[in-house]
Amino acid sequence: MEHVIKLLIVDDETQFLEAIAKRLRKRGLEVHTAASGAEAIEIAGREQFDIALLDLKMPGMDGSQVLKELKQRHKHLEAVILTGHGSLESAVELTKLGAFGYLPKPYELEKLVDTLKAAYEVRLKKKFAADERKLKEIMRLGTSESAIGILRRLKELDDEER
Amino acid sequence: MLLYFLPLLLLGIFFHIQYHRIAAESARAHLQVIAEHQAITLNLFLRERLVNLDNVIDDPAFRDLSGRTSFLERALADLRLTSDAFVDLGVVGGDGLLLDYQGPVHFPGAVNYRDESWFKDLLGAGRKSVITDIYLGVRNNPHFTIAVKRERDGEVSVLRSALSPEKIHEFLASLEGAGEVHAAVVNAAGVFQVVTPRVGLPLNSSPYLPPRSPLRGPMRAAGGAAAGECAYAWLSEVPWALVVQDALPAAGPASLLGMPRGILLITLAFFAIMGGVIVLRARQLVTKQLAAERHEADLSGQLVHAARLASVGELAAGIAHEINNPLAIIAEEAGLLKDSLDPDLPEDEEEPDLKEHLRIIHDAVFRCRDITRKLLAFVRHAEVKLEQHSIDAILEDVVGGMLGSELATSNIAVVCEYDPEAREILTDRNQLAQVLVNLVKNAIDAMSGGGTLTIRTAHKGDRLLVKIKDSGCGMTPEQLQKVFMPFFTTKAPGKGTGLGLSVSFSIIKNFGGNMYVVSNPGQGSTFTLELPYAMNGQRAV
Repeated sequence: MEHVIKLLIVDDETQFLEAIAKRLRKRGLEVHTAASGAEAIEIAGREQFDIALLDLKMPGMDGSQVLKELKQRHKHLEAVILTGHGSLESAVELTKLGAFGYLPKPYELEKLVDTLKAAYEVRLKKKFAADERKLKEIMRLGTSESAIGILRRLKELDDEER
Repeated sequence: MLLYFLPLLLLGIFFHIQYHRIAAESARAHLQVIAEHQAITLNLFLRERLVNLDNVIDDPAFRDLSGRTSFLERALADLRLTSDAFVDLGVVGGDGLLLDYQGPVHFPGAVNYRDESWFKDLLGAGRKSVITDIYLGVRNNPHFTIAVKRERDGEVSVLRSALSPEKIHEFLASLEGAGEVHAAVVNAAGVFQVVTPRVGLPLNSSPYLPPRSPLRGPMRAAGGAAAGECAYAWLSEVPWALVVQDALPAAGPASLLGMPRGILLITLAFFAIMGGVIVLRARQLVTKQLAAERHEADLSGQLVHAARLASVGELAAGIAHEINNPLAIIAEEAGLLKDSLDPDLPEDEEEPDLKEHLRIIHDAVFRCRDITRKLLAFVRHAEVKLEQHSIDAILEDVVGGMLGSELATSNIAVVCEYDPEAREILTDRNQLAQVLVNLVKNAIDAMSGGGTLTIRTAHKGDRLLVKIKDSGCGMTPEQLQKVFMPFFTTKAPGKGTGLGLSVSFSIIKNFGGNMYVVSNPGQGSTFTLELPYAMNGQRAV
């Protein structure tokens, strides 16, 4: 089954946002855009995304703050940082905060797509691992719990993931 | 120039006065020596004459009354051989009667000297001889009388002789011969006795009235043109004094022209050489000083430039973001157009609006250009150019242009309160912008979590105040003390050079302005610039 990568792009440059969204859609990604950190958190609360592509320097909430917020709310969401303001220290800092990758602007689109795909694979692996955990939990609970109890437990695990 | 010469001049005058004092001293001593020696000569002359008379009166032939007339005649002839001062000879009896006479005068009747003061003096006990003052006498010719007395067998006989003062006159004339001194003989009443026509007339009262005691010494002539240094010496045989006066007019104590020509010339030459040396040396020093100042100005200019480059380094991170963003836009727009030509990718739902995409690319390119242009304008080592500038425009350039997006992305609200009364200031735009960029950049660094930057201008007399206030971390008193010192920084190693504020400070000082800071930890900092509207004589580097 072909998976569609669901991507949220956050950048205060709206022209850039539109152009990159168009190009990635052409390459088969499902792309949503947000022009500020607050908007991104709001959208991510409504829909589940595989990857967030974050600009670092933004008025209001900056990239690292958005990253922290999103990671806190959506455990399996992968984040890739995209910024014109690059330094090694900030890359290390962001990796610690849970960012998957870090790309300086301007970039080659192919490299971005590769990074996004790699991030998606990690995301899938984590998802599989989680599903496996669920399956094992069902097996473990299989004899001792009622069907409703098992469903409740699975809901708990889902909530943990978020 | 006068200042250089004044000490020399004073020194010259001092030496001049000293010289005059010593010269006058030596002249006085010289006069005294002349007076003493010549008085001795005069004494000898007079004593000799007395001795001449003594010899005559003691001659055995003198007592021979019968042959006395011829004896006197012979004696006078002998005396005149000895000294032609002798005019006549006369024998006077104890009663004052002239008994015998040899000489040019023919007395019509008997002559009696009884009432003459010299005769009375001579008759006094213990006197053996007498010399009278000068008198005109019967022949109306100035002369004086010398007389000797003998007492033999209770009978008094006196030998008198009139003497012409011609000899003394000649003597005085030879004394004055060199023209250096005036000489005269005066009696106890200060009346000229023997005198050359240059000095006065005999028997006229003289300006000289030497004291009786001491017997010799210096004196001053009383008043008139003759006033000046004199020396006197009393004669021993007669109450006359020889007075010698410096014939040269006494020079004023500070008259430079009174100095001997040689000394004057040497002094002038010395002054000229000293002056020359001083002028040369002063010029050398001034040149050196100017060179040093120029060198310092160069260094200072280089430092300002270095600090500017350093702050460009600090700006660079922000600038990179500024440029990379539009570059990313260009890349994406170009990518979009490339994509639409790529047969492998799905067709667009609608034809891409080429014009719109090209406009976006164009705008992004010029956004980059504006950024680099601003940066270059800031870095350029331009000549210092003092021009009238509106402070509002420069501030707008800094917070709106150069640091605008950095302020925005750092979540710093900018509040501008510009005084509408502020006039344009005469300043160098680049340097003032450098200072402001520095202050705003520091404010941004101090407000890492965002905050408010307040920029206020105010008009205060002949100065314009610019206050830059942040709501950042503030500074401790220890940090405040060192804040304008070179290489002092509160930033992490490698983040700041510690040059920004120290160079800003010197730039503002060079503008003739002032810069200070108020800060408390946790309450932010306020930097204030005081800028003069016009710089008077200030040199900006």
